[in-house]
Amino acid sequence: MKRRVYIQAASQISIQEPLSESWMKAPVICSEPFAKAVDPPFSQYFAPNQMRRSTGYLKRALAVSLEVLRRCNIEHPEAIITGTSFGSLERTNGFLSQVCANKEEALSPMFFMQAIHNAVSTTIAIATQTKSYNTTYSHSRMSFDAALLDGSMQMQLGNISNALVGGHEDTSAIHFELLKKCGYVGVKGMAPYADISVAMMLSAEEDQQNLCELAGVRLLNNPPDEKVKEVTEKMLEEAQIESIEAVMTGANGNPANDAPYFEMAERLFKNKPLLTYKNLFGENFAASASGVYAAAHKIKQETMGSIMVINRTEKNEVSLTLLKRL
Amino acid sequence: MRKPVYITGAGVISAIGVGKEETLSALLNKRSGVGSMKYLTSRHREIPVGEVKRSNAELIQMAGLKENPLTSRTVLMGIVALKEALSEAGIKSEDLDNVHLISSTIVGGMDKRELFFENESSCDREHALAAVRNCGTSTEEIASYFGPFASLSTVSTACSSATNALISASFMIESNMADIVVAGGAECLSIFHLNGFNSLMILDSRPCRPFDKERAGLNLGEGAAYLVLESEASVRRRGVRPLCRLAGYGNACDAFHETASSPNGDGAFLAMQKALEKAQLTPKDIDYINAHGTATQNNDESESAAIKRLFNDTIPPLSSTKSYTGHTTGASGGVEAVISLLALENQFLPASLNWKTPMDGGIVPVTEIHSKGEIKNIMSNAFGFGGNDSSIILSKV
Repeated sequence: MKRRVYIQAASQISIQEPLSESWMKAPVICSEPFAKAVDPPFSQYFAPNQMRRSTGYLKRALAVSLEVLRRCNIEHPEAIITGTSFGSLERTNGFLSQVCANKEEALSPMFFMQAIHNAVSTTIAIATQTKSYNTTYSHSRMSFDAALLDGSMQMQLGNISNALVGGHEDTSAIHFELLKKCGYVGVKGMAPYADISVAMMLSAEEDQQNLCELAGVRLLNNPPDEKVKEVTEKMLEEAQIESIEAVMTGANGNPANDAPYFEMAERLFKNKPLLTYKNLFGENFAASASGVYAAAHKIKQETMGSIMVINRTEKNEVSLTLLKRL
Repeated sequence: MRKPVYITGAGVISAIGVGKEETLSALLNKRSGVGSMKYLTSRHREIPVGEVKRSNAELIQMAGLKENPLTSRTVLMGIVALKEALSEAGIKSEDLDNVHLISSTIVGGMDKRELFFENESSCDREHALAAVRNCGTSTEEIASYFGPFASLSTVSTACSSATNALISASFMIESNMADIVVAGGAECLSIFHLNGFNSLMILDSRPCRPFDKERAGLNLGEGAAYLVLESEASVRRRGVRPLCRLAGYGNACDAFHETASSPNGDGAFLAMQKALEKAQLTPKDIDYINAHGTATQNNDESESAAIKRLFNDTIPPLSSTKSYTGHTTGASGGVEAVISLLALENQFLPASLNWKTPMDGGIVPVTEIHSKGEIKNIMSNAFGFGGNDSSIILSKV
């Protein structure tokens, strides 16, 4: 018998109103190519001196995580699992600049320490004094998806009964220009390149307050259609769902990004309504976290039965995340 | 009852050799690979490092790749190690759609970005693509050499990264998400990495001396290593011989400091304790510990405290093979898992090098390779910044 996994709570800090679900009724519309997150009043979550040497990226990651812990009334989660592709861009680029400018002399160890990708997981653990399982996935656009898979597998195995899973991505002017050159952001008419910080609590406990069930997560690499079909059918069978009600795609208004999503939906999820989230939360390498976050709240607040969240990379790695109404 | 997880292949490259055979020979002959800098173009020429004794051009040739100045050394070493692991496990390219890959790295392709960083704002698209590489990109580039793996993933938890990749791989097999998962890590030396550790003032200007009273820091190394993890059903179906079992694992967080370990080694203690529990073993069942043993003041003291707490008076033979390879950071958990596997397969103790004086109240590492009894269970520790502490246990089949 498959153990059930639920999303107990989920929150975000992005270009929308922070730590709020007001985007569902009154979304912020952003038409800039590059936008910074709207930071919440951090002082509600930690003393200013506690994080005085930290960047906005780390502060947002900690605040949104503490908000989710608060909503769940959990002090020490049984796992802290983070997905981030680039970690702190400010610190990485800052340290690299120092190395070049100072000719490898007189460098800031703090820049190096905070450039390490697991700085978010560490910061949450230190702030909450949590000594349990702690890890970080950094796998391009699949970073959050890999983190979610880890949490979900460990709950299946009965290793843990809850897990704080997050997707956090920093932005920088340097990276905006580089990503634009790659054709990933800044294309006319596409969602803005923007910071994201999403945290959610996975729980094994059945509760009417839960947002939804996390009915399955799969990572696939360059799958042929038959493989996606086979995996989808297995996920539906395990979740006891007859058919998916809607598909949440990573379309962002950039034709090069969107075409493969639309083609895949046309071939494999014909006639299903296609939902989008990057128009609201922006584009970045942890964007799929905002997709799962948005789908979980849509299921809870709108009368939707199930949503399949599809994420993909330029190299055609695909993730399928199935969310189901309680 | 936990589903058994077998190891059916392994591959390694580090300062002490290319492949399991060269690595074994160096360990048996107590030959360290730490020495003066030859391939890295840092201004800090005086700092000893554990470099893989091959130039990028030689690695490209070994892999049979086309010359590309933007290919990271991390990827080249990763390909060499992964090739050996797949070959030992008898996995061919047509089998790969049933094989998952979890790799790990800390700074991935930074060795290339740092060379053109100052001119980045005016770079072309090809360089922009190289500049926005992340940890996962190196996994993708390593994987693409071989063919379509079933799925790819990348762990990045500082110096415990590769051990956590092995743990993550075990979850996939135990939860029936996969039959075969190849896991490990790859990390090359880079100016970024060397200066990062140097800014923390934890690099020894001499060959490192793990668990010695006079120890003065670590030597950075580089390398790659992968292990093939496989379910029992798959081992039977393919008719392959398991080399050992991944009997247990544990990860815990010290939750003490961004980089330093707590004096009593809470995180390390919990990780080792969890690994024993998972393996259903007691401390006296462990025949050898491949310690994290970086030779920094802080690590060796904290790790000693944790080991003494868990093992009491029956501390098994222990050593740090970082005195051979240097600290291969993001790859170290993989490199040391392969070294542990070699010790298990060949029944010897990898002896600590450069050790002379015991630490005050510290533990004494083994300096002889001969083992008194049969080696059945080996514990391998890897601890990372942020107190990210992991421990695995390899057991004879």
